[in-house]
Amino acid sequence: MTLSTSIARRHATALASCVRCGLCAEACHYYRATHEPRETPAYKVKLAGEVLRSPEPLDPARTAEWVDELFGRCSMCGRCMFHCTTGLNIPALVRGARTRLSAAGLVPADLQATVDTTLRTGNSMGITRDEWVETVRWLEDELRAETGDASARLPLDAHGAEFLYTVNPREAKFFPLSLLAVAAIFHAAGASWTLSSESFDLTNYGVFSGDDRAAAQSARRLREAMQQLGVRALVLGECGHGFNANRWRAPEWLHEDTPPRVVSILELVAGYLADARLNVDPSRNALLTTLHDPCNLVRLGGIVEEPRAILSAVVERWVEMAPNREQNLCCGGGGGQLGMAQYARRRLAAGRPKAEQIRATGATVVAAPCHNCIDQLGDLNKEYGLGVKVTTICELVAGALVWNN
Amino acid sequence: MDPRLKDGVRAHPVVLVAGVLLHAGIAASGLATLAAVTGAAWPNWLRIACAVLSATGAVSGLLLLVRRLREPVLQAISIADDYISNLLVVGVLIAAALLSIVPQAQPVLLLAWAVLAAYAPFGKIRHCVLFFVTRARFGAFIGARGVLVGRSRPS
Repeated sequence: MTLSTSIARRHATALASCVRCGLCAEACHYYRATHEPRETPAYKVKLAGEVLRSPEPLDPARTAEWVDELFGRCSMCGRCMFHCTTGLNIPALVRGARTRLSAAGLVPADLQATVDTTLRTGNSMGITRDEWVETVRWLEDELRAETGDASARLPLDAHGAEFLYTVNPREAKFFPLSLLAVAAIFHAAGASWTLSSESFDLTNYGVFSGDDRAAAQSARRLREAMQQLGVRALVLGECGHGFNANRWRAPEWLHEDTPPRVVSILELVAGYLADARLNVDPSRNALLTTLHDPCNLVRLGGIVEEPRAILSAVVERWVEMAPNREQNLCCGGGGGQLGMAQYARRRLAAGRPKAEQIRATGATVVAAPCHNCIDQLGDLNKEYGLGVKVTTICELVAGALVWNN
Repeated sequence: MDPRLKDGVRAHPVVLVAGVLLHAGIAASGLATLAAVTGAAWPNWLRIACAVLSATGAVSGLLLLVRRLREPVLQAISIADDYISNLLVVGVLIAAALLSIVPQAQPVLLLAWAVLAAYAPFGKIRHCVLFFVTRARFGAFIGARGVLVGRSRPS
């Protein structure tokens, strides 16, 4: 049985299993924000079923609604799956429908442009090799100044290192301090690591557009970089969908029987802390902090306790949101929403439940181990006047590091 | 996942109760039909219990049908199959409840089951089988990723 046949059967079974009880509605942040019947996950399942069952060519009279609903009103966060009476994998159905819409050239233009940029340049922001290398060198100088250690490095193309570290290109472009924080942690832990001058992007926008071929190409690129550099593991920076794609989805796309070792930076750092490889002082992060659980990392990824273990070690006081872990509310930034400007107002409206959840904690710092979430939470911070600082977890760890010199 | 933790159930607890009663009624009506067809001797209390459960199930099914007709969310997601399946199941439940009062209703009950069985492969009644497939896949999905490992209940 081919992969496409297998997936088609899974979709067919799932579609036939929906009893349309409507009890998924309250699980969805879009519905919670608006109480519009069309925001209900079951409605999206209904439309996904129309798309998946449609003969070729797709009915042009229906495509506008399909695109608007399945791209513009779903972040594929998977919360509905846990609340579904029959346990339908609703994000998989929505993505399956997006795959058909993608094949018909119906992906919203700016999301498609991001996919195309990745295929053309090797990263989703079109950063050139020179720009990337220059950024890394600048951060290396910063690291040396920060640690007072002239031997501190951000290794590039170091063959035989233990692992290859990859980032969300937003870090290179807008949030270089995130990469600096990780480099400081690696330096403090004495890690054997490297960056690649060519393949540094862990994001995978084919996941969102539904284009399996593009998704496979992005994932393959990192695997090939691992082989070229002779590293034993691929370490993924703080990015939810990148983790889901490279850890869980890539083996299927690439037909891997024995996938390489792919781990989240959070697993690595939690291990460093457990092994006492980092000397940290939590009093350096004295502000009340809360933790946002990125859907792709937690509910769909299984990285649940590691961020909690890290925060407990490096932050003086932190509180859980309610609900949390696999029950967390989506911030609204996933599913490619940040890459589709035409749905921006809707995205901000759908983030209201998350904003209320943050406000209820009373925290002034929100730790969010995902750069897409950070962008969305930053927007929610402004939209709803939350007055919080949004940060990665590694920045909190780096802020708590105590340098022996 | 504990149904009580589900947002939809918290918002609509009556729907959970009605759903459970509907399914209990279906099981009871199946038992009543089996006993009637095989001519098995069964205690009077069990016969009455099955009749009561079938009747309660029928009422629950009708309440769920009314809800489907009234709720905007359900109107948006419903298709013809939802009404057909509901009415076929309610038909069986009413016939099963009647059987305890009117033994001559057995042919009606068997006819109701036959129509239901003939329709089942084409509608959502398939979930009586597919529910287990979907649940198993859901369990495999989150189990492989370790989503619920090392934790108890959300705080």
